[in-house]
Amino acid sequence: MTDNMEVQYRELVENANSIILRMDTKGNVTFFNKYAQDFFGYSQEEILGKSVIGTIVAPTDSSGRNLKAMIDDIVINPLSYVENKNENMLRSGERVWIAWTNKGIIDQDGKVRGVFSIGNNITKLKQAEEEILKAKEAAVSANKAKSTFLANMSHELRTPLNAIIGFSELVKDESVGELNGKQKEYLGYVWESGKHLLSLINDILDLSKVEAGKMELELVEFDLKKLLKKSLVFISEKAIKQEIMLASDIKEDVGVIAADERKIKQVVFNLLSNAIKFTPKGGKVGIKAEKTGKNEVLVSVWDNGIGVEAKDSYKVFSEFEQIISEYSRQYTGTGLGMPLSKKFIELHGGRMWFESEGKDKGTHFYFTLPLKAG
Amino acid sequence: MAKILIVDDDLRILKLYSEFLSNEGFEVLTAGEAGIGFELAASESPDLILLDVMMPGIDGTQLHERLSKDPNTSGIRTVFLTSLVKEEEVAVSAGNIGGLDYISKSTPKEEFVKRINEILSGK
Repeated sequence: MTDNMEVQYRELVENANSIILRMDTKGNVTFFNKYAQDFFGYSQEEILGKSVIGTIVAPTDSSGRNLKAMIDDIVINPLSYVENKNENMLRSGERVWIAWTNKGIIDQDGKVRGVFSIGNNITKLKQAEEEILKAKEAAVSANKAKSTFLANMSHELRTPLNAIIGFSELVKDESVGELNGKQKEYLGYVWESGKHLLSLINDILDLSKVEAGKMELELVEFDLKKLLKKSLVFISEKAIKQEIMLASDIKEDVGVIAADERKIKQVVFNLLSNAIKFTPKGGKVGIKAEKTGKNEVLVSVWDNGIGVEAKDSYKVFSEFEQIISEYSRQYTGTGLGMPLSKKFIELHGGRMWFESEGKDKGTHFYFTLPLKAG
Repeated sequence: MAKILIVDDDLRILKLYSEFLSNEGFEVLTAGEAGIGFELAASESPDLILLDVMMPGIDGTQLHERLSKDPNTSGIRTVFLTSLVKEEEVAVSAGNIGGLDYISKSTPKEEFVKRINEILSGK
């Protein structure tokens, strides 16, 4: 009965669809199952008593890793290698990757007598992994190249644009002579379009910088409460023109933050002007700010305007996407304001999101910023 | 009225800013390259020099250095003109004009004139 069971276990180990081997504390093979023999291309007689180094393990792997040192360590310290992936070598010299589980064989005195290892071939997986990694690296570097190109281009584009904007302004304002009505109107279009193009270029430059990881924050300490209040004053002219009511609920505990003031101003201004843009006449736009439980400020800019339909919600923070509506059609935005704002906030360690219950239900934009510690 | 010297290799920029400033009553001198700029600065003693950063040959920062070393011109206020529009760009720009006065070439006319007046009145 016992003999029979031993035969059964032996069969199990011999025929298992995994590499199973044992080596002594010198790294010499003391057991090598059938699967291992077929896989590595050594018969039992050829491998037993031989060191794994030079047979199934090359002294160094393809990347130059010292595998001899690794084996020397495994036989002393098998517990550190319970799960270990390393390169192995077939008899033909072909390199393969094996995922090993190693277990020390401990005698009664607690001394390591050898290591028992089970391995599975993960070469294909490893290759796929490497290909993905390469593809990812290529994509990252292509994206960087794109960003650098954009940054340089943006600079070159501005130079002629400055002349277009400057001269059209000069002529439009009749600084160099009187114009008739049509001339004045049309030059006004040239000037406005030039300015629009300039802001587009500036946004592209910012975005490409963020993506290239080159956007640096100029951190200064300032009172966020004041910035929010000033932004409201700044936007009020636009609101009055659109017959939109402005509401403000800025709590006193919204205090000093350490952030890039210009960028935060840009974000707040962008949110407010978007809210006004997408709110019909007679509507309401508001700003709310409070300190939340954590060391964080929560700012929300809300409106009761046209809202965002669920099917369009993915577009809000996407580059160059504008939700087409009768309102946006009248207005030429860059389509970069929101994605840029979100990136600015995230650079500060904050979050930005929005909520809308649907068409004509208004929109709430939120962002958080960490309060100055201490 | 104050006398302003503009140094820029771009003829359009020279014309544009001459118009901006002469309409406001300033006396405007222009130079299309650094050498002439330096001569005019020394001979005309303007109240302010507007200096383009990127110019072929001697660039804006080099001219600035030359002006500030020469006792005849070292007292003249210099403001750089740049097509960069943002502070952080200016701070890291090739010409390295960080910390010095500058005006973006994208500044609209009114703001441009306002900045010039502020600079002249020592703000």
